[in-house]
Amino acid sequence: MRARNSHCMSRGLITLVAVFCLAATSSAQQYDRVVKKNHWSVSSNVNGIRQDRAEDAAYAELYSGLERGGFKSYSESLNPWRAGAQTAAIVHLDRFSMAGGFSFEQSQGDQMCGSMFIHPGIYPVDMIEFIPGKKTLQTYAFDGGISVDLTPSVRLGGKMDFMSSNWSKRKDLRHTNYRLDLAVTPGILFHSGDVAVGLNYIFKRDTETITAEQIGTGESTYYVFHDKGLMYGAYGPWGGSGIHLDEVGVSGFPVVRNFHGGALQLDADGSLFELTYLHGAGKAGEKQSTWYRFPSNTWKLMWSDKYMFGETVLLSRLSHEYNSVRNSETVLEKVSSGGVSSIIEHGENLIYSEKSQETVLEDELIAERWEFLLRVSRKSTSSEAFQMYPFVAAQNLDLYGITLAPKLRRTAWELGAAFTFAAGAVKEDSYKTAEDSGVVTSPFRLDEYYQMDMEYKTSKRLGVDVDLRIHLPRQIYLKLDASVIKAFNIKTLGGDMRYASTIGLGYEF
Amino acid sequence: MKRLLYILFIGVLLMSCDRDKAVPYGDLCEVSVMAEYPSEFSSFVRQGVTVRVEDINLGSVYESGTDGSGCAHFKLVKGLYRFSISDIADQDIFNGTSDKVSITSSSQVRVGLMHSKAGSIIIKEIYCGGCKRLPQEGTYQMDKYIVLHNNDFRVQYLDSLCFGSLSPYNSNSNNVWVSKDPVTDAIIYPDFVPIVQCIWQFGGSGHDFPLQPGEDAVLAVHGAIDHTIQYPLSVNLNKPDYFVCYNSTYFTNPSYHPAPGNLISQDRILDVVIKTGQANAYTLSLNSPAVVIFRAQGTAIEDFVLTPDAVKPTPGDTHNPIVAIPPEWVVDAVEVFNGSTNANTKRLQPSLDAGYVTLSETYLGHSLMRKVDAEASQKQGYEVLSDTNNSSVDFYESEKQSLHE
Repeated sequence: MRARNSHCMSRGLITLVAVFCLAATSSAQQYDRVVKKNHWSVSSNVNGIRQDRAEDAAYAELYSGLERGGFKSYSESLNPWRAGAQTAAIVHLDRFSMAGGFSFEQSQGDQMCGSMFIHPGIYPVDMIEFIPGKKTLQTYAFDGGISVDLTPSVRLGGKMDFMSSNWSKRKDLRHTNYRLDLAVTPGILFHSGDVAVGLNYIFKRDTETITAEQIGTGESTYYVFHDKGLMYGAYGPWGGSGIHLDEVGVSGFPVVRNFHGGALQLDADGSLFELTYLHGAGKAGEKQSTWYRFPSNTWKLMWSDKYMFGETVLLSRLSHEYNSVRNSETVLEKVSSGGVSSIIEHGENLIYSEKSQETVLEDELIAERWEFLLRVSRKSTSSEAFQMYPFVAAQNLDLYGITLAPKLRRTAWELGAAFTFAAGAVKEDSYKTAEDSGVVTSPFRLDEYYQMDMEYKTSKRLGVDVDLRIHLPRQIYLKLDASVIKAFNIKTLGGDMRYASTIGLGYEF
Repeated sequence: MKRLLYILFIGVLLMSCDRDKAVPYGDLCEVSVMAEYPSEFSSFVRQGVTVRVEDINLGSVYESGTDGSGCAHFKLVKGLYRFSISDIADQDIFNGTSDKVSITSSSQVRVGLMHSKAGSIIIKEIYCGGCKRLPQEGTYQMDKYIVLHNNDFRVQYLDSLCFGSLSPYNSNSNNVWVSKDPVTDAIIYPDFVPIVQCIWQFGGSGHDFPLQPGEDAVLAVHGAIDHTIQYPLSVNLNKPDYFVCYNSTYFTNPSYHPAPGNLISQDRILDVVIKTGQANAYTLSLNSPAVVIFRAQGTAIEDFVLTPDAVKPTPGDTHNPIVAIPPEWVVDAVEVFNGSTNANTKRLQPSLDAGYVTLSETYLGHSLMRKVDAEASQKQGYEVLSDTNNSSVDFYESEKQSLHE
């Protein structure tokens, strides 16, 4: 028995070690083309990598880039730079296939303030500080998936995505953030002829904690705005009550979300349908001091059609995603009894609700020597904030975008361009649900930042992106990318242009 | 098969519209607030008395007038609230507060009112929050002072007036002297005023320290020196006619209690009536003192502190007993809340101070000052300050100390 196990382990190790070597000896099909040609690549079921198999592919790349320009959100830097390394591979063997990759990126920007979160806007609450300083972000990520043929008709597989991010600002009001993103998706797929049915479970978790501190002394203290929805919230000293950055018994401002859900896939005659549902449970705070709870529901319907005429592939994709989230603020009381302090929760009040729908249509032609992509998207979001009775603030935000991206491919080089037009519209309404409430105070809104945020999201803009890839000897490639965005009718932001460039050096196995 | 899948796609697309719309303020609580006057003043129940409701956590404030039966009605979201009533009818003042009342459903809240009269000598200013040491690094808090004011048209005398602060030192500390009624959630105050650490007393034999109508007296709590020599953002407390809490026998800490400046006369150094704490410096809270001035009635304060029930141990703290002063001896009192937390608890019973003034932040040179009653001042011909026995109404936070030059 022991000898048999040892033999199995050796086989597994050899297989693992051979991943990149096997890929290296296969034909040098570009990784992203291999991924795109498999129309199951948009599905969350990892078994799809064996369903529409193309060749093996792998690459490794070092890159560096920088941006300039005043057309940015209030949280971004005027002149950030980034550098990183990434690698990915897809390998197909007789009875199983594997896909995976890992990456590291360091980015840094000067004169940054605004949101204290790494990805502003993904939570229904935010923290905004106002002292510009240098911020550094380090991101580590890896993902890996495997799909195994159990029987000629059944495939079993699983995938894991992991990302860890560290974010720090070293000037008062200084803060450090630790963020974790994890996704696990085991799945199964039944296939017979041209028909396949897949089912997979999805678990996701993301956590982020903001730890703020003030080391220096100055004439005045540092103020923070705690956004509870539509830029309404509490404005005060960063250590004050109601801001939650410096509460006794809680480490910083922690936020956590757990998602559970699943997806169902149907593939027939070259058309793939996928229905995904995710239920999220989010909260801010910890232990007895939970300040907010925000459950969410996401439905996504995706259709992908693949048509081959000769060597040319036509991929059509239509997706529609519906998302809703509600945020409730808890009523907490700190009581002391016998020298022991405890927190009592007296219930919660709903203070914010948001619903969004996003529709994306893509048509992509992939031929041997050229490609063409057309992408049209629309996202509509309805939000309501009601933090102080009887005031209600409502917003409808519509964002549109269209992209045309042709690409030429030759043996020694590839040249692509992307032309993008985007715009948006915002409609707002503020009202009171009762005129005789007797309210004396009114909710506070950070108007200046709200105007900047809306202008950044909704202003009309044209973007041009040019990328050149030069194939050097020994499967090495050099990648150059440059883009410019021109926005129109800018009044509150620092500029109407944004430039970006990236250089990369890679190797295709 | 493909056609069937298309139909399924369109069907699910159409069904994706969410019909469950969130209703803002969908579950409000209807709250009735009843003003309960003392039985001998029941005739004061009337329409139009303002009831103030404050959400302790969010800071939102609502006001409504009582109806003919003395009841005001509100619709509120779930929360922790402070209900307060301040009714002034000529010389009669009625104040009452129900603090930290949890509202999670429709309820009735009763606010018991206490009767009081407007004061003669009142506290005009409390500077306790300290300032920055600029241009040096750090902060400074040894420059605390209190200003007293004669708000009466008659001459008042500071002789034998006593000064102290309440236990606990800070408004957000554990308060062992108050409890909560399990049925009504109302705060129950003790029948005494717990003075912590020390009672200071103005000297004089009865008429040595007069205060003319509208006149002020400055009491330096720590050093009666010119603090501005070292710390320009501080104040100069070395002035003639200023008083100081100084006793080199009981409070030996020279940083907090340097020898009074050359302009301070000996007779303006307050006496220590009794010291119950163990610190070598007199402690006045940096961010939230509850300050009282009082005068013993029917006995001398020195004799009172020797009576058996005058000094009580503090539950859970054997090192800091308190002196239990009868509330009716209090001439004036002011409650200060710590602005950096919402876990404050009132220490002063509503009849002494129905509200509180908040010190938003320490070490900024902010001071808590009583508002001027402009109409009364013009009428009387001297400075008359607002005195409703409710520091929420009477006080405000000033950006700078009044003595800062």
